[in-house]
Amino acid sequence: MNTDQCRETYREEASELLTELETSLLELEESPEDKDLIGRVFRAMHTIKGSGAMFGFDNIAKFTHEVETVFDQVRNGKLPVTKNLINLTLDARDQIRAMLDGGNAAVPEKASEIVAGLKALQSGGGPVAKQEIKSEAKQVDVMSGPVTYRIRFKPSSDLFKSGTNPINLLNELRQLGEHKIVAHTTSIPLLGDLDPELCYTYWDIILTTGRGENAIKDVFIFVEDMAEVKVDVIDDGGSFEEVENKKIGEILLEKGDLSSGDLKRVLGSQKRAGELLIEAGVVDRAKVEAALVEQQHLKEVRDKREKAETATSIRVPSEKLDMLVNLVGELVTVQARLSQTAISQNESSLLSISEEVERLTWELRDQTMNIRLLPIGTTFSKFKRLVRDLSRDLGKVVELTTSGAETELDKTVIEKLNDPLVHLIRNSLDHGVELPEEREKDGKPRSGTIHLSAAHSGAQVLIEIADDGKGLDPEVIRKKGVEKGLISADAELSEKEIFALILAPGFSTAKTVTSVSGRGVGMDVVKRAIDELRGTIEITSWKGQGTTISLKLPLTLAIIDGLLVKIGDGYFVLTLSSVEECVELTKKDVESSHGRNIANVRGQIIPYIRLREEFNITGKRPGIEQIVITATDSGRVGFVVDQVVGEHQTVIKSLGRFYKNVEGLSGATILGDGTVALILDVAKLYEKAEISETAS
Amino acid sequence: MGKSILIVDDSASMRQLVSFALKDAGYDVTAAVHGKDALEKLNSVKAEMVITDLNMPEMDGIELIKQIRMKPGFKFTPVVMLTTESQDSKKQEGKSAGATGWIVKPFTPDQLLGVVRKFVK
Amino acid sequence: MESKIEENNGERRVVLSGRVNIEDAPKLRDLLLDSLKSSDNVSVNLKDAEDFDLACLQVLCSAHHTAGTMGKSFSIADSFPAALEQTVNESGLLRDHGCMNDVTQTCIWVEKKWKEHKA
Repeated sequence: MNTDQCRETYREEASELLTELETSLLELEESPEDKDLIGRVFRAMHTIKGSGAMFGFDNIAKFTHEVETVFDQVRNGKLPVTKNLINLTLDARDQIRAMLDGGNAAVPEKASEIVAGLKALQSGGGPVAKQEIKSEAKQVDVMSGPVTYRIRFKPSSDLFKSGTNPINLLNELRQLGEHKIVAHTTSIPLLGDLDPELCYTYWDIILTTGRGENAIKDVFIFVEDMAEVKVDVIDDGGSFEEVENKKIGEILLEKGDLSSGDLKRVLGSQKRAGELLIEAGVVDRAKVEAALVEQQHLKEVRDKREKAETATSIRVPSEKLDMLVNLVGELVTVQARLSQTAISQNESSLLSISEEVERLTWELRDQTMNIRLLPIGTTFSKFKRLVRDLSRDLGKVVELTTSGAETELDKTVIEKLNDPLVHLIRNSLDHGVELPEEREKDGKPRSGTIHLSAAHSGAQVLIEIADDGKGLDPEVIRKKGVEKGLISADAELSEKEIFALILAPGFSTAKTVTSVSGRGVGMDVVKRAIDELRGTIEITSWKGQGTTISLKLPLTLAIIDGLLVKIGDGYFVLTLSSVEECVELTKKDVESSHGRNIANVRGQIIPYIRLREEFNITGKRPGIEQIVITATDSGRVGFVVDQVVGEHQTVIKSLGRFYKNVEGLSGATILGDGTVALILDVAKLYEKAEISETAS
Repeated sequence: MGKSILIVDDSASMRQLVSFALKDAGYDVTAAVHGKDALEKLNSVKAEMVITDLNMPEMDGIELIKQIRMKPGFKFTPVVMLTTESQDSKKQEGKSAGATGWIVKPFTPDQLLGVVRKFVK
Repeated sequence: MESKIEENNGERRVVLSGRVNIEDAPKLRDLLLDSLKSSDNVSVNLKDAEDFDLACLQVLCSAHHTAGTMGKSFSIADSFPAALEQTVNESGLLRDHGCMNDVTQTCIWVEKKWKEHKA
């Protein structure tokens, strides 16, 4: 196969199209309403895209697709032709030419700039970003229940003469889902009248599929004008109230195989309807049989659904859900204000209303969060392919097993989790699992395993990536840590702390850089991503036996249970799930620790950080302060505050761009009386304190 | 040995692309450069499916389809034509001539195989 | 398609071998029509045949119907080859009872028969 030659041909073709495109665009600028010109531009883009994909110019195809999408909207009158559009498209045209000339070498910055421009044009032009809705719809498609169709396929008699084999069509339908197929043979004439090259048979097909009616229509796409294809929904997967199991007579009536007069006449006596109808000779036995089959199939489908207890679902664009979450967030804030007002006025009727509202608000909050939860399994399936391809590239034999695919997580969390998981799995494949020969030498099976699991644990989700590879060597990591200046040579570290070193920026133990897991910059990126999700990461490893990476993530990102504290006049919130206890810090305690920031809690020494100093809060310190003790990756740490106010439903608001680089704060929330409270990033604060300590 | 398919197109790169995709999927491919060439090839090759372009010198795709339908042994052979979107009338003409189906250009190898598998396993 | 006629005690058996598809359907029709004209008891043996399609199954179906109206019998003899069973099954022909044309209640597509012959 001479691919180069194909590609060369494509280059020439695309080059011509681009020249033509330029002319058309300039003409279009003169007469922006010209439908022919718009069509020409669209087709040029379409061909460049289509053939591009055909000959391996994937970047061109992908890029051109974006432009084509815009012009599809222009073609449908959804977007006007503006100067801006022409300019962007001309830029795009130059970009495609550059891509074409530079082989497949991309100039990504410029391209993404143009794409961003086009996208802005689209969202400004009314219809929302089409692409996103599509992917959302796909997601929900998987969850919507299957629908049962009745298909009558009656080919015209000269079907065979077009080279069509109806059995192939039936087999295609079979692949769509559970089915029952009944052939009707009554129209086949006697031998003397039979033209053996004609098709006399027709079919009733009962099919239950989640792929939609279009998938069925696709099967018959080439015989549309050579056959009568009637598709009826006979069970839409909906609730049971409206769909009683149909009687035979009804089914036959519906299909037009029987007249209602005949049905009434025959149904006078008590025998089974199907038998009666056949005996009375008003319906052919095969038709009754087809109806019986339909009845039976529907019953099966419905029984199964009842068992699976899959509720019906509706498609909702994710923006609507985001809106709902926002509204619930505001409601939670208002509710807090209501509670506060009720308490301060101390009026019993208002208090009871406020309590009622509080209960409802919490319930509403939980339900809303639930709606946003999706099973993580959708992500899992993608990784099978990743592992398959990567292990082949690396010459390793690795099997990916998964469990807990049904575990539900917030949609946003799932989306943001994708990249870190890809990274971790790549790492396991590249650095963890050994080559088959090595494994055999060590007495392990040739094929390695990576197990990906998810499970709920309280308000958190635990995700583990476990491989049975060579494991981490604490000594090697330690040495490297010292080398890189991450730890001092005499630092006493637990194994867990040593493993945690690989999460530090710039740490890498891979001897050679491979294309799979890059230059060892991976793990700190993973750590950062997990931090952003307010999750934690923990590494356990046994040398020679494998490594397990555990991620703990919150179920949702939008609202958390927080602990509200006060320092001076300022309010702060700590994530309640990380808080272990609150203890008092008296002057005496401070004196007895000789200036070091440590407290003795029931015999255990706990370091603490004075938030008052951390945030430079002036004003008088109260006589008795409070230490909020939290559990972090690196042990228990206390935070000294003036006063612990109590639990607080925290609707998280981001801090905005200006405060993006502020360390130690992960967001803000609005209190009942309108005051802003800052949300503390416990892990970051501790990290910062540790660094300044080692520095001093 | 895979099932035999005849591809008819005057463009060399298209022939190569289609042949490559089909061979890769395990089919046995014969290529012809236009309708006349195709009819001659069918004398020696018992193709189970024919894929043909429409605009070709010597004998175009429509005529080729008509000829195939008259050729003993190929009366019921699936014939798929390669069309472009703007050729809707051609599509109709092709169907009346006896085409079994069509593939709209441009297409990806996957789309091609999707259609081919409708007709030969 | 190759064919051979065997006569035995007034029973006429049509033995087919090789490809039996639409290309051969006209020949098959004539063969079966002649047989039904000259014998009361016709069967077709497809043991060594292959590559069946719907067109041929229609001929067999028609032959059975025709035999019924002539007061004669038509059946598929001996073992049913797997390829034939597959095509019959894929066409959706297999059934519990014969259709309206099956006046003698000897429909050749009744599933029970196919199961018995397999065993």
